[in-house]
Amino acid sequence: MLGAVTLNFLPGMDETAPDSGVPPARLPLSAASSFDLVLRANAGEQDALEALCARYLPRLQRWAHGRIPPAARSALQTHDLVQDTLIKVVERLPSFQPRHEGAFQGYVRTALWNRIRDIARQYQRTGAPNPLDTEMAGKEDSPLDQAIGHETLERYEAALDRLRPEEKELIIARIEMGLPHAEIVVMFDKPSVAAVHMAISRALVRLAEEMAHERKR
Amino acid sequence: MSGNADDPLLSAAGKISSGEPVDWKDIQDQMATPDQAAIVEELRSLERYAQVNEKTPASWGRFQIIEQIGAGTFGVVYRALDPTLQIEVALKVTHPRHPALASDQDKALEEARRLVKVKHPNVVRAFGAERVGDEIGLSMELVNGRTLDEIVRRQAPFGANEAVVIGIDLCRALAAVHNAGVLHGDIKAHNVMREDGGRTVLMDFGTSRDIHRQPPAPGGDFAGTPLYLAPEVFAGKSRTMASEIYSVGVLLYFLVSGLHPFEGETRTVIGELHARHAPHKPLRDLRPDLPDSFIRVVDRALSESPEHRYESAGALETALVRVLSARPDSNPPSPVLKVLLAALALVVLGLGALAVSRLKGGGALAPVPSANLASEYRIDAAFYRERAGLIERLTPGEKLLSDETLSLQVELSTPAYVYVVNEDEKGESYLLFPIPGLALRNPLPPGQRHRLPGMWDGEPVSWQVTSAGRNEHFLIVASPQRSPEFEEMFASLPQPSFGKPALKLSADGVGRLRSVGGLTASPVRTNLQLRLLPEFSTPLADGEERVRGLWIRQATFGNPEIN
Repeated sequence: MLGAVTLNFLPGMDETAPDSGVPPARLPLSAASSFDLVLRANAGEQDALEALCARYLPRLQRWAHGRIPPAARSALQTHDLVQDTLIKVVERLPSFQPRHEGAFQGYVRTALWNRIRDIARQYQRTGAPNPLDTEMAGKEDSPLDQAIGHETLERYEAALDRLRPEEKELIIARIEMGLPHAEIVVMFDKPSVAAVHMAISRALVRLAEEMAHERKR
Repeated sequence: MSGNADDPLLSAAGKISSGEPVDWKDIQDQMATPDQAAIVEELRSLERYAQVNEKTPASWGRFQIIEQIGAGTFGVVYRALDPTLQIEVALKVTHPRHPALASDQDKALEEARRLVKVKHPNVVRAFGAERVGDEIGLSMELVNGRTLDEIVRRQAPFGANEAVVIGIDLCRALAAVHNAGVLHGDIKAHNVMREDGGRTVLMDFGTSRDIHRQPPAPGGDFAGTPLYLAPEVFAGKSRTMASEIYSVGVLLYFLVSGLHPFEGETRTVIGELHARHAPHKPLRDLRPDLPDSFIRVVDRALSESPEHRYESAGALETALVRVLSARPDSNPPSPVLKVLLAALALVVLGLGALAVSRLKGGGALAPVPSANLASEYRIDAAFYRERAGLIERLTPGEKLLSDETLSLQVELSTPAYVYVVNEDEKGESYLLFPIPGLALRNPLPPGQRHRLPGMWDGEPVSWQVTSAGRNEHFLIVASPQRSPEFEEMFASLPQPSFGKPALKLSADGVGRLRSVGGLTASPVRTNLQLRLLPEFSTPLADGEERVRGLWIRQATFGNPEIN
């Protein structure tokens, strides 16, 4: 799904390339890594932005689907919400330098989650019916609420924020996005599937410890 | 935390990450302290979290799965991305109930072949079918909207006009299906969607078959939902075009009443009702407000004898069109509103200057830009009475009481400019929305419910009924495009004064405002109440008009003098 391509040919990033006066070769978009696409999109390449959206939209929609109550999905236009968030994140990238693609994914996820919460707050402010209102949790729970419960989700979110950035990003990649280990190896620039597996396992235990700590609060 | 691979917590976490089962009892038995036991409990929560993703595969064949949107005995329907076409599709994946049941795969492929034959805007479009292992995937147009069943059950039955419009669309779809030599086989409210934007779409050809092919088991053509099944099918005859006309009749009956002509818990119970030739409950008893012409059409479609029904979907459509065109206006606009409606018509015809001059006696303006087709968007609107902390929906003709407050809730499928005008028996018209100074402004964004007139200083405000005057006429007009002519025309109407905070208006001050149009704080605050309101999609009156992109609705409420 995501190619393991280095960034050596990106303008301004190849410090070892001889200055021949010939523009460096560009990888076709289909072969470029998502991280490559992020950087190219940020440099104003519209095709790269579209390719990035095409790669990320399905998984982010899947993710958003789990967090929006069924009754609110149509109203919120999940597809538009995800696409708009993705574009805004890319626009803001000059102020955010992701270490690897996993960090970018974590950043987009946080931005999207904030958008969903913003919409909830906006509904409350305007007095309009609020599809994300927790008062309706019993009847209009999101699939995730139904699966693990609202309180557990709150503990999870609070605990996740206390993890180290890479731990958090690994949890997002594996548990939230459901990405296979092999893909996470590429995203996080890890040496092997075993290394990723161990890193995720440790992050999970850390998360569970933080959640248990959160329960005592 | 231990980094040791022998650590039971780490071992459990590793299995969660790999999607392997965890022996939680064994892990829990190894925990020495309550704190460790609490961590195990949290790991179990994380296992459930991880399993949410595993329930829906990330891909099927070349399709990327986004979410599951339906399921049945046949298999599952996903919202998926077609990477080749770069569009979202509905992917219906049929898996055989048993590996040896190849017939399930054949049925799925036949459904795809039949659906591809039908090309009509009111029938869901098929893109193709593929086989992955022993599963068949049928990719279809993804329709964003709700089924008619959902709308009726979650909101309220439709008014006659809306039901007729849906019926006309459905008849056109069914005519195309029959013309392609196909029987749908399961016409019902679950299988008809109203797309966001208003298009009616016939779905689910899972029980369809070729018109001329006899069912495999003679005397047992029982596919389909019993509530919608024609009496002769219960009697052992095969489904025909006439039995599908009957199903459309049941659907129309359901749309306006929320009930079916013959209700029963089981197929046997309904079959017995038909066998006894029991009459269905008269629609008139359920909806006294329906026009006779509509009831006659439904009754004929529901005739026990197939020969007495409409001979084709096209004939039923023609009858429904007649209902629409013969519909008497139950709430004729008052003189001033008639002028306003005429002026609106002139505006949409590009004669904006004439329209405005008719209202305010002069002025020359540029022609109005052409509007979108009204059929391309959907608007729901309903007035609500608010008193004693409760709100209730107003139906046309209801009586308003002095000191009551009113609000209007509007939901749009596209951004639109909305205007609300009120006129009393004295012939005085006022613009109730938009009101300068309130937080809610045009264009109103789509996809959420707006409460008009809006908010002031963070508080919802309502229109207040401050005096009596026999009747109150309301006109709601919406347009997806801004028109300077509209703006000027509506701006020429007086508005409720908002020079000082509405919440602090003295009783005298409020009284000087007109009968409806004074602004006051809403007595209702909770969002929860607003969200539980039923009947939102029911028309205010059977007077909805669509004039070249404009959405116009008129409603009249009583406002009697109280002695």
